[in-house]
Amino acid sequence: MSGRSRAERVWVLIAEQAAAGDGAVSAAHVCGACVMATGTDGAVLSLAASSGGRGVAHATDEVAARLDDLQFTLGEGPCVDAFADGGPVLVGDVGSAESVVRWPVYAPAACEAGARAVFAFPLQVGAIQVGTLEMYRAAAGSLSGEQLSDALAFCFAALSVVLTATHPPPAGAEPAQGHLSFDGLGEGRAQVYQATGMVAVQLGSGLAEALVRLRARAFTSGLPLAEIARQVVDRTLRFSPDHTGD
Amino acid sequence: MSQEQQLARVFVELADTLVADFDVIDFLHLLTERCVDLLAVDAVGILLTDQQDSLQLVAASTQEAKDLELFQLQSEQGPCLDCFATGQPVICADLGAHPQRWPVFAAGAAQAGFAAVHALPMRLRDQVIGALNLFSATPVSLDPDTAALCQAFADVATIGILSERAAREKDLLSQQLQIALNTRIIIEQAKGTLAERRGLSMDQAFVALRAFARNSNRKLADVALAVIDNHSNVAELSRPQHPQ
Repeated sequence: MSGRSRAERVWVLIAEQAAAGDGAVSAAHVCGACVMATGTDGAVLSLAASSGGRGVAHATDEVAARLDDLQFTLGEGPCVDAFADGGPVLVGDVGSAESVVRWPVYAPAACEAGARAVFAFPLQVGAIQVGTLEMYRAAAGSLSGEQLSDALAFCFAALSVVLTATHPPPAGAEPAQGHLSFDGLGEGRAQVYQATGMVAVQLGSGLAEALVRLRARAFTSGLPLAEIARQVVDRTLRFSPDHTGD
Repeated sequence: MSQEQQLARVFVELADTLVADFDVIDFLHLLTERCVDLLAVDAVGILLTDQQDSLQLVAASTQEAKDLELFQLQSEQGPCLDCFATGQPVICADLGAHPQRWPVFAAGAAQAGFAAVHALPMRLRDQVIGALNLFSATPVSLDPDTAALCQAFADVATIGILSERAAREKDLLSQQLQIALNTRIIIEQAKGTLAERRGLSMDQAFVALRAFARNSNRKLADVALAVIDNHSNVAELSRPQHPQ
């Protein structure tokens, strides 16, 4: 399966969840679709800013909510490590000796809450970190290769939803479904990341806001994000804080 | 200095950086540059699996946009993808003579001025995590000794990313790969930030970042983050020196 078709399939799954409501995609829909695709028992999308602020965007069930709450209270756990290290923390058995050594208070408490396998992913694009997405299973065992690939794709979807929610694009640039498309995230194009840095300086803002503005521009102009990024890097396109020219 | 002595020096240099808490992205960049020096090729890139469906560039010996594009293009088609899929070296000593093999890639290579390509698998036991990609401006066929040396460089790159523990545990490997990929993104974001702040090209921005990291004995990724946050401890880097 190609990267693009996996991304499309993931969005279809999310949209199906959203269709039950008013069609606007939310964290709940991302979590719901993710659980189905990865064959896990529940998920929680947790928001965290590097400044320390945090909150739960959505938990599919009480076990997931409890797992997140434990980590916040204890300051230890797979999500804490995933966010700090900048990479997924995949725990096939949180009851194993290794897990207990690693998280002495969290590990037994997680088992007691009903989770044996825990998979924590940072939601990030480089230095932009918005939180974590965590799935659990009542039974021990690892994610299969396909499930891992899907989980990583859901991370980009979650990132997209959170970015749009926390940094609303300029008026007129909001698409009907309430989120900007998947386009450009996870493609590994240097110019998109470079443009993000450049636009952040032009706006006098953080990287997250710069990325949202770039994506909004791509949406309103009907061009791929990579093309907008190229124009920024070539210095034929600049952004300004007051939206002139946007 | 004989070639053997040069080689020995380079391997010691690389091994020297393989200590706990080392800077993986800087290491990979260093490795691509040494490949260019020692293998008489013109451009080198390291691509890693993103564990979804693509290979993504994580370090290259060149910052030229046209060259980077050629590496990035291979996420869809080309020698690296074939190499990654088979776990075997993939060689085309003369792209011009075989335009059908990878039509889109071959066109891109011609445009970038490359005539030959070698892709060596980065693998540990049964796990292939990426490919080392070598480009030459002229058609060239590597002799067996040089080909073995290319594979040795690929092996060193692999070791740089995997610890022995990670090799035993697939889940830790996933983490290492994603961290490496994300670290590269941080550096690209920092390049853009610095380029805009100081009116530099991306190439100049990268050179400045790396020089500062080395001179202040800090990891490239840490310096990159500090630049992005406009931290005072990189003030010299973020702002050009004013003449007194």
